[in-house]
Amino acid sequence: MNKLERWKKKFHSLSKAQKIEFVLAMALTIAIIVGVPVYAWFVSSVRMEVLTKVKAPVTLDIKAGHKEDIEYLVLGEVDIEYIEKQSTPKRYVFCVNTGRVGVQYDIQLAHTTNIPFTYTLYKATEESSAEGADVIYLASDETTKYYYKKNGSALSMTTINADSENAAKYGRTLALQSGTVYDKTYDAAANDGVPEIYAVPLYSQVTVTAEYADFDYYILELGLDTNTARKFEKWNMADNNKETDVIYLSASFHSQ
Amino acid sequence: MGKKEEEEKKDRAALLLERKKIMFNLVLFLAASFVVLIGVLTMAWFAKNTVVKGKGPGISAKDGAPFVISFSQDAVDGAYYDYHEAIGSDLGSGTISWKMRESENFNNYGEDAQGIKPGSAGIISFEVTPLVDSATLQFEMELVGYVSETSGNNVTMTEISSDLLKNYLRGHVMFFQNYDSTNEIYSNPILCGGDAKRVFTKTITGRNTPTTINIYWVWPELLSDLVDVTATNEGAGDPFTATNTTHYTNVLNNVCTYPTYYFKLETTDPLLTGVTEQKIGNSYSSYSGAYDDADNDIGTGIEYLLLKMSITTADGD
Repeated sequence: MNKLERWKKKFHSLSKAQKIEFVLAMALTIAIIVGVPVYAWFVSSVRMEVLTKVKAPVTLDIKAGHKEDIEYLVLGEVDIEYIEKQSTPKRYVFCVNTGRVGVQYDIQLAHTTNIPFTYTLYKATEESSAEGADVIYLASDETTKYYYKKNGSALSMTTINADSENAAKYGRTLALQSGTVYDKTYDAAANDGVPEIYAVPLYSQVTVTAEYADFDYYILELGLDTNTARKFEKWNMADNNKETDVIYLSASFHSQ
Repeated sequence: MGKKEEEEKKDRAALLLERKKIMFNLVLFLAASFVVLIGVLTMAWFAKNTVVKGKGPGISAKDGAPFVISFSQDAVDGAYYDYHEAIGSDLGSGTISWKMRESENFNNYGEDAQGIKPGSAGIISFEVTPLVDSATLQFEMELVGYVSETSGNNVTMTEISSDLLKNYLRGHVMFFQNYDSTNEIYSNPILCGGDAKRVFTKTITGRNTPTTINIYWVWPELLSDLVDVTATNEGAGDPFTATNTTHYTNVLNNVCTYPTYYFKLETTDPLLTGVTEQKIGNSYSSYSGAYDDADNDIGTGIEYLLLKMSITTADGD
């Protein structure tokens, strides 16, 4: 009661103007205090949010020489007589990219068997000069040249459908014939039986571990088993000089 | 003596006048604020719902809202909670953190959180407790994409600027209200219209009873999941909505009306005009390639996705 009396006294001791000022200030303060929660009352909504991550896609790419688009990998014509005379096989460079070192992937080579080529795959490195280069790659600008050299021995590929028993008969390994295996691809029924033996591709695969996060280079070597070709009477080089083979190169992640 | 008295009188008079002016201004100001206060109170009174003044087992409710949002007891903040600060979100002061459960999340739960990719699917959920007998609520969702940059301990998150990517987000990450796990069929799609907002309305009944709302999210892996191309493409799978229902029709219409949400194609590409189920079926490999290309762009161009949900009382409550 004492304090109250003191405050009362102090209040009364103020001049009239000061009293009014004091009352006004108190009223304004109260007005603000009341006003703020009233405003919050208006907003009757709830907002919530959460973050998640987008998983980056895994890359697996095959490209031509010097990481150029695959369309520049041109196999073109192969002059067999040139191979024979020069004893130099035809070579092509391509590369595979996985984006990470140490990733395992399978390279698959599938080819038809019209021509008695031998197919070998080597790892390769890009070199700075033409000296000792196995492949000279002409870039898409048709001017710049890049040089590749074989690195190490041939990769040991496993052919999964070789008809090795009849290799001597045809002068080369053909694919195993099997109507049940190939009838979906070649529609054996429509073609009066099984597909032509040279049209069925031979599938060879090898599992490789990525050496570079960037691109691993490879050289595909097409050779000619000349002895066999010459001796094999059923395959006449003159008759077959416009013969064509189809070659497929593919890469896929290796599943354990 | 007389002159001094006169001067003093004059001074006092001038001072009194000044003080009167000050008081007059103060009174005006107070009167104005009282008018505003009364106006506000009156408006609030009109807009106010008849509400029980009590809160359920909730995490957040603004005073006066007729509902409360909460999460299951075992729900926790998402694995990327720390990044909210970097995107400048107002978590904690206006927005609440949508908590995730071990079995129900946006692939953002715990240490092994994987993130989402084409083919990912799941559920996210939350609880709504009406404080009235029945509350009609509008749920509005939006996805925003971000890329991050780390330098030392500092992470900066920048919102994606590409309109193409923003469009793909509208179509490639989808939300549904229902999922039949036996038949693997989605229904009640929550689709984007002309903008990035996806809206659905629900009436929740049961005063002070929590109702769980499940949202089924999916990143469709194949275009054939959305559009029925089985007539023209042997081997294509069925869409993941039932084709004889409006659920399928709504998804199909979304694809046909907003093809830029689904396909990566040049703006002049004729495939972007007159899109129909038939056209997609006939040129399936082109459309599906464009769908996959968009998927790839999302994967390489967007790192984080922010899912925002805004729940408000619908009009006509």
